[in-house]
Amino acid sequence: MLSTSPLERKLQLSGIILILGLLVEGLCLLGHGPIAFMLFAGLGGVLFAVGLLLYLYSLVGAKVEPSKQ
Amino acid sequence: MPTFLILLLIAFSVALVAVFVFRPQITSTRGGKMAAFLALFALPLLCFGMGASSELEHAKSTEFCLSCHIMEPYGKSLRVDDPQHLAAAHFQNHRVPSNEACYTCHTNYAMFGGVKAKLGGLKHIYVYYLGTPPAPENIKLYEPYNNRECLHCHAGARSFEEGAVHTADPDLLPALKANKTSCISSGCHGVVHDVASLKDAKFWKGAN
Repeated sequence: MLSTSPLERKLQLSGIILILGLLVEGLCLLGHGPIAFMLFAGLGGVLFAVGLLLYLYSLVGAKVEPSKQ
Repeated sequence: MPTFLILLLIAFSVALVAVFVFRPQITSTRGGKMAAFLALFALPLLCFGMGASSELEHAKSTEFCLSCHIMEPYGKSLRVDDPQHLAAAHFQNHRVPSNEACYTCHTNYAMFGGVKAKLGGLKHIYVYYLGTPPAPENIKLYEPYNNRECLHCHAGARSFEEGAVHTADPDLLPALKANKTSCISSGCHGVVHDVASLKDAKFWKGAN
């Protein structure tokens, strides 16, 4: 399922992690106790941070093809 | 913002991110790159911000504070049918918002007071689940209750500034305002929660 292109693979990984983060956030918003709050801030926050940073890293690390003139 | 709207935005974001997981090659076009930025960065960030705001707002609620078993006696103390009980009198007469009763009195009205309250809350959760929580009647404040929290509402109020007891001694009001004499001193407003004597108390059943 993962692409063979390094850039696309990073985007896919970033997307999967962000989906997990979004699902954790959604479930925590349905809960009302302190555990939901902790999961939101801990697990959800880490997944979001990793997903976003991986996306940004994929942009920075992408090789720019030299322009043909 | 209502929770269902945030959940709707989350569902939309998940669907959009899934498009890039299953079809990453669409990022090869200029429009695809811009859509990827929206789906993989802007929208998740917005969802997290709105979710965090909603969670933090919910963490202020009385229901949230009382969801820990150890806090139940403090919740009961808000319904004691005795006007001498300070917390009960405030809660029952809506001197504090009943849905944020704990937070209103136990947050610190100085700079970063809200942040300190949240950090204190995280510590409470840690002690509750992973530590050895004390018996409810042995729970103590981290530091003596500061009059600043009372004066946040009462300063300038006629009942406070011109109250017979408060004005009987000309030194009392300045001492209260300087936090030199505590509002909850014994003989003044000394009965606050008094969870140790709840067994014999009568409870108000007026509102839910």
